[in-house]
Amino acid sequence: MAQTIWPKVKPSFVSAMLAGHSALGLLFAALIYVVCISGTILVLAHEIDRWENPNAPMVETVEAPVLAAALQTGVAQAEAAGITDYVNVTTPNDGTPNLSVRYADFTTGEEKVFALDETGAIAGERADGFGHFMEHLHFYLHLPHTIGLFVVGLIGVALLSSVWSGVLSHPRIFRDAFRFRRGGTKRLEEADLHNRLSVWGLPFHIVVPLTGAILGLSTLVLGILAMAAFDGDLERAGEVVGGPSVAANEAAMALPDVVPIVQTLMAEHPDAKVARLGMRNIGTEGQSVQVDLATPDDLTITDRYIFDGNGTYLGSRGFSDGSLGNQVIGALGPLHFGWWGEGVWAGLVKASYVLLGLALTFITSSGVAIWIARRKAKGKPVPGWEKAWIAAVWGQPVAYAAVAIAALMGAAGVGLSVYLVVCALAFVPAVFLGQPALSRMLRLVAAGMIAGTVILHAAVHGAVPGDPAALWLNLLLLLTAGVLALSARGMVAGQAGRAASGVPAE
Amino acid sequence: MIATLTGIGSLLGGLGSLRLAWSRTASRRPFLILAGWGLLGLAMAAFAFAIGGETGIPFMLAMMPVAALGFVLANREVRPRKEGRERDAVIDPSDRKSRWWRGVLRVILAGPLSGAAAILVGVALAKQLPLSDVDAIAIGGLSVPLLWAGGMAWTLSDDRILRALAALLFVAGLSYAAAFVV
Repeated sequence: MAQTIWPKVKPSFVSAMLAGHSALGLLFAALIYVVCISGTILVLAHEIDRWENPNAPMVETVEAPVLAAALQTGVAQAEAAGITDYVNVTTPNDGTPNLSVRYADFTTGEEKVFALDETGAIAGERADGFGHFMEHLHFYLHLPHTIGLFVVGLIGVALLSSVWSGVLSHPRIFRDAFRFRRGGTKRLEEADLHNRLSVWGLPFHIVVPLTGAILGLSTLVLGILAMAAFDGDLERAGEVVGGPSVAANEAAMALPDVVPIVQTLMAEHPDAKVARLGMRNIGTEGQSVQVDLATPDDLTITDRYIFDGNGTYLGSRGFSDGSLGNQVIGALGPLHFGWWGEGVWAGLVKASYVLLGLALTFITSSGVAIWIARRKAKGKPVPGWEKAWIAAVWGQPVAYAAVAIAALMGAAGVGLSVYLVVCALAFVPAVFLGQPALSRMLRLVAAGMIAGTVILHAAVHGAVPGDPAALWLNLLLLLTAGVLALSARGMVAGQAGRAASGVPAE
Repeated sequence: MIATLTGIGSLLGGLGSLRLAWSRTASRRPFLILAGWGLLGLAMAAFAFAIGGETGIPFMLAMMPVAALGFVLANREVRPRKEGRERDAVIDPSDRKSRWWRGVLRVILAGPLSGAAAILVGVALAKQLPLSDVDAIAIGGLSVPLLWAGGMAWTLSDDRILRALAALLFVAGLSYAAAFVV
């Protein structure tokens, strides 16, 4: 194999780095794993949304009058619910080929989403039980939002830190660049896969935790930085980062006509498409109109153009054509989730993010497996921790499938309870099963639950639903179930082979 | 279309060249490594030309790892399963004395102290960089998680824990002075 041209690193330095890498990885392993696997699933958030609403009216284009009608529909629904905080229309240019409207109360957290037809009239309530659950798991770990966001941001920092220490503790980074050994000792096998996935995925492994950490810590970090830079003027700080806003004023005011706003904006930005149209503090002097435009060449998902209650243009966030700082802030979300480009390019980016997200999930899992194998090789096995880790790892897909089944049965409200109970139940068989049997059983249960989710989806929405994305996602789920079942079968074959050759099972 | 095909070809050619450099004798390696990274640079330029620089460059950076892992997978080497220690030289993590106060100090250093030092550096950058407000805030903000992660990695790894403490306090103090005193 190749000799490295890189300067030699002292073994004592590598040992120290490995100690730090190991300590950090073990301390945060379970949380990093949950954030990684849920983030990987959320790369397909738009497809999940379509999967949950496969028979919602498909809409190709939306003209300004229909947008205005859709907004009016949302405002009427919000007013009926006594909510004036926020109404937002989402068009087919925002990732799903549907028109929908959402209202939200920022104080109570109450919100509702409706599917609309091509005229902007309500076609039914839009289901988002599973997608909503996964979003809140990944963004907040289902903790109160401010705390949850901070914890997830901190996990991003820990993951990024693991990347730094991992790279520095890898003295054969180039020498082993293409080396991939299967078999041999368990530790070497796991380490080879852990290191190859880590090294070649490095751009992804840096960008995703970094953007995630910034997004998670944004309230704290940007708040402190902006306060320091603007001597405590948080309003000005918020406007610099998030675009202009209208001062709160509860006095009543008629709704503005949004048709000329949208038409003028479209004339000024012929390459862009309206992705969302929103209103804040509706019916008051402090109301504002927000038009989010999507431009395919931009890395940012959308840029927001903001108008006051009279329809006067106030400015944009500058994500699309502002200064470098604005554009960097606007690129954080798309770079984190792999949501940029259009058509085939966008599909390829999403596919690569799913694969690399799975790789990062596997790296987390194998990191703990390496520690377990190292303990075993040193004659200090930790069977209890090994079983706990198997239950934590394979309990996740089982729990997600259970939440999806609950959402399909119309019981999305109990999603978190279902998730926690299933996660806890995954540890029960660890009491009476050995490690390989536990792993095999949980993989088979996950495969069965995922296949069951597809069957239930077909029963609720039909085997061939209106939106082809739902069909593709069901096929992907069946493939996943098949791979899980085969991996469990592979474990049986592997053990049988080892037993026949006189080598004890792992 | 030509740019796209050039991008795909250069990406695969670049990785192929690096793969050859990895397995070949020393004499041809520098050329193969140079050609490999050169072709990867060309692939980045081609994708930037095909779909625009803003989206093309990150597109290449997302595709390259997947394609590279394909090359790694193709190099799969299956060996019989065995138990016990590896014959290959393996470096183990350093065996530290487990004293509770060192553990507590390490957690404080890696968490709140590294975080505070990183935020102070970010604030110093946001206040002192000769850029527009939003540019300075963006650079300062991006620096915080990178530096915090670096500080965390270092404080958890350094066997001389008091050295890490001293360095973090020095960086925090210097940044505070740059942000609020200068």
